[in-house]
Amino acid sequence: MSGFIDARAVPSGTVIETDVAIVGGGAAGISLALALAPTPLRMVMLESGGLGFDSKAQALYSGEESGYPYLKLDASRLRYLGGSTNHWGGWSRPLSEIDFEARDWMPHSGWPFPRREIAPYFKRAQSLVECGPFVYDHGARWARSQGAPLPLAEGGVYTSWFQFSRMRGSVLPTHFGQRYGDDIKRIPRLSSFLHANVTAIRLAPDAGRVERLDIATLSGKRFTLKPKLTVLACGAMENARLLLASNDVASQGIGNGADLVGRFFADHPIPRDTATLVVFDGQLAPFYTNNAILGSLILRATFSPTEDFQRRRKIPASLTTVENEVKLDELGQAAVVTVANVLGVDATGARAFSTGCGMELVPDPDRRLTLSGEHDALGLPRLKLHMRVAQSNFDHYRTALKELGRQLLAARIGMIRLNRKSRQDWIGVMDWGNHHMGTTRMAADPKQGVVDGDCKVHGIANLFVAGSSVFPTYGASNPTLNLVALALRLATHVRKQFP
Amino acid sequence: MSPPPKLSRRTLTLGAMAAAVAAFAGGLYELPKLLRRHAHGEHAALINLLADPDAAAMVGRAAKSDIAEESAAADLKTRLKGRALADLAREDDADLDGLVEVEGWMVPLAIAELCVLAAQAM
Repeated sequence: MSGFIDARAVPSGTVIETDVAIVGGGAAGISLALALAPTPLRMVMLESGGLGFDSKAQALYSGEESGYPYLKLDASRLRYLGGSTNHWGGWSRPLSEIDFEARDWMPHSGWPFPRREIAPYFKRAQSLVECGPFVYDHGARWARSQGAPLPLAEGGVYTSWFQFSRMRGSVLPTHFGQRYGDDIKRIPRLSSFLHANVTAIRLAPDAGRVERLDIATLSGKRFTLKPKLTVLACGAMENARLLLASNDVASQGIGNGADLVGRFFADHPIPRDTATLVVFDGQLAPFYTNNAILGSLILRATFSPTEDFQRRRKIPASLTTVENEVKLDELGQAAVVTVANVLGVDATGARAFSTGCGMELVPDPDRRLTLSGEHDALGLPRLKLHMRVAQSNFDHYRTALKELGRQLLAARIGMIRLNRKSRQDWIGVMDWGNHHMGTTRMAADPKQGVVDGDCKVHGIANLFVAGSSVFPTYGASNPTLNLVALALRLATHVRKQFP
Repeated sequence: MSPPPKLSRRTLTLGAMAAAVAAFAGGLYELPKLLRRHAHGEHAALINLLADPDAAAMVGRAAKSDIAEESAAADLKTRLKGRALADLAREDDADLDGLVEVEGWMVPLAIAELCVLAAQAM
């Protein structure tokens, strides 16, 4: 069977057997299905939504939030084919070496493998997200027709580069459902069900294997899938929700023996107007403030702390973007005139720019998803998020900004004002990346993680997790490219389960 | 050899007008300098080297809550010893600890100290 199947037309009581069940039709699920397409495996992909936005399906996402101000749980993701790629901004950048390292100054940090484990999959991932050639920190060479990066003095911050996804034949980033829908339909041994919601993962009595998945539609149909192997790929919130809610055999929920499922939730804070960056001679290459479109390659320059600086100053990753030009107030003008005068620099043509940022949060077990007392239309417990953001996260980021300011001064090319300091300052300009991560974290030790280095749920022989829910440490790079690479790597492990 | 050209009244008038415009423009250019307030006191010589001591004073007023005048004066006196302020700024911006935050602006310590003295002197 191939093509899309409307689960609402499947008779209740139907039992379907397959080799591999992929729960979720977002970037991770679709990438996995495409990677497994050449194999003889029979696959079923279960997508809760349809081909477009549906408010009733979307409402299944709603939940409760408490703690630090955060987004509504049904507003920061999308429940239809392609998942949250249907509203992503296309920002792409591979994680760095340090993002994988266990750092004694960052509790709970580190992946169970180094970056080189995932590196071979970046090329294919780059192709799937349609970011053009894999350039990244060689961006200056590719964008030189538009100017040169700021000649910062030697130090802890450098000009780093993002690339952007652009869907073939479109100006938008790659929406995986739209872009790969036809490819999915053509996979001969894949059955893709739309409007199919997994409501429970049923374990064998010994709690060591998944026996079946309960599936329901909003139209009232209920049927069963019996896969030999299951991959959860429905986002960092829903992956945790399904594991926690499937508690008939494992009373704490599946994979939750160490009480880790749902903990360590993370996103990237992207506060606005974090600083004012002044360039004394007013010369700033356009790729800092706008995307440089160079054929199939779209680049944007940002500022990032070097790995060495992160280690020395014990700070997490961040990126600083240069945004719109701003006017300086009287004090700002006085500061620029005075400093430039002493440094012997002409600042009569100085220009000032507001900066934005993306920050890595330090892992926090109490930033947590749990089940609420409410249930959705299908009877599944809703989620409750308790959000926490320690002030130290912002203090760490300010250290990177200060270093950028120091390097501007030392190079005699500019200076910086830090615009935010207090907790209220930051809350007032806060936005979020909608990059849900961390809730089924990866660790070799079952006491430290929900899944192992192969993304298999500890203690469950045939249950895997795909997507950024397995990221134990997050970096400042947007997760899509990285989770696609990880899904492609997972495909190799899945293949090995069927010798 | 031809005789020197005679200057007509018209040429002379135009020349005089041009000279007057140039003088006026030059005066305008120099006016801010002429009207500029000057610092007085112990550090006046240093402060008056700045192109805009009033601007420095404004920065200094913002820095006063973090930098005391006495310590600023003492520190500059110790560090300068015949060197230029720019040299101290270069020392300061070699390390994060050499910068101070003045209402968010990251400024080399020596410059911030001079600004505090300017605020006192202006």
